[in-house]
Amino acid sequence: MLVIERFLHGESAAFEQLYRKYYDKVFAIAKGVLLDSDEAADAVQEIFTLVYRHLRRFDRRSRFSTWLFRVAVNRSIQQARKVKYKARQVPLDEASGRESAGDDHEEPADPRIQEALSKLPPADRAILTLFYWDELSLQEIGASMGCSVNAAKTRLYRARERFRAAYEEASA
Amino acid sequence: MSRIPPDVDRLMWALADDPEPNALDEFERRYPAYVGELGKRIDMVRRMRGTPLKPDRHGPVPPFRPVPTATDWTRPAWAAAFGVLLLALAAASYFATRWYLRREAANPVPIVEQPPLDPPSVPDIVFAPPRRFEAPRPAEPRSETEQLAPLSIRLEGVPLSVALRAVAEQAGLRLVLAPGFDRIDATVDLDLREVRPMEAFEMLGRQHGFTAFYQGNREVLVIPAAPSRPAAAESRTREERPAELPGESPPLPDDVRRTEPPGGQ
Repeated sequence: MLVIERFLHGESAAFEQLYRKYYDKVFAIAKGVLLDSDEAADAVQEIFTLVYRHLRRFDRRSRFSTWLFRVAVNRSIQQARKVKYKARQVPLDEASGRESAGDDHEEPADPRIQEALSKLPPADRAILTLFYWDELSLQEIGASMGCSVNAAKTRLYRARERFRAAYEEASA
Repeated sequence: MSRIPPDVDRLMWALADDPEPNALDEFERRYPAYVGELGKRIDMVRRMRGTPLKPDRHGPVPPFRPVPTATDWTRPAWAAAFGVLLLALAAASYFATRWYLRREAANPVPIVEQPPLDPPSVPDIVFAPPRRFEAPRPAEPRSETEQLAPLSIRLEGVPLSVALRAVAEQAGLRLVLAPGFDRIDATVDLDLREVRPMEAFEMLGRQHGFTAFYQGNREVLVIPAAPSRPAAAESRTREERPAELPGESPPLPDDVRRTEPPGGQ
């Protein structure tokens, strides 16, 4: 909160701190919804532009990250509906050199995951991204998506069922 | 695969999200039929979480580059500019219209005298005389006398009463002779071919001074004419006295009643 106060008091460098701190999280949300690294990178710039312009509207009743993720989810879903996800034959870890990076804790990307995600609506991809990749709680997901905890739970259950059906179809 | 109960389904998702070993053992003990499905879900969630979504970079975070967003035009400055533009357009339209109207008023269009037009020729109207509407009359039913079959008879030198009875008998009619008929003493020669019975009676009546009336129910009444006015009775034609024609069965005419013999009643 202190960083935000500094930005609101005219210190532009404070926003750079916020940007670097949340870039990866916001990028994960955008990529999980858009399923494309380039579009996700552009979406991240748009999201932080919106935050930069409208940070004064942040009412501080919730955590800044919750507010930021809500902006990110809405903007990513809006962008996904606009471009209707041009199916690109590029895996999620496209040319990232992740295998060569030597990260032994993560398995190589499964193409069935990308195929199953591409068959889901953007809102389903968003809630799955928040839950499985950003590992937010149901309460945080509800706040980020502008719904109650129970509604978030129901949405997550339905999105998960649709994902499972798509995943099994891709596995067949 | 049979449909999974909802509670088991939710339990499997919870275990797939957080596969705690003791919970897995307990699930396997209680729901052995769903162990395979649980294994597939655990594998799916593990692969999903293992799929990277982080940015493809090895260096620092790229610099922040503010971009124009689609909602920029809704900012107050843009809205104000748009409003000013609309006002300018409205004002320009108003002044242009006013200038055009003033110019039109300064240069009025001259009025050209038009030659008088000939009155239009009206064709003569000929009114046809009013036509009287006549409702179609229903076809009159054939009278009973017309339904009597024609007859042919030949008699020579027989009394009038015998001749009348012969005609009536051949026509199938019942003959009623009024009192006083016996005064008529005449001999008749008849040669009739295809003549209706009442026409035969009428013909004999004109010759011998009597009138035959059809009374209905195949009955014919024969009344002798008055002695003082035989010519009047004879002069009456069928057209002049249609109501007294045979077959119409009118009430007895006054002159006939007056000819009744004094001792007849």
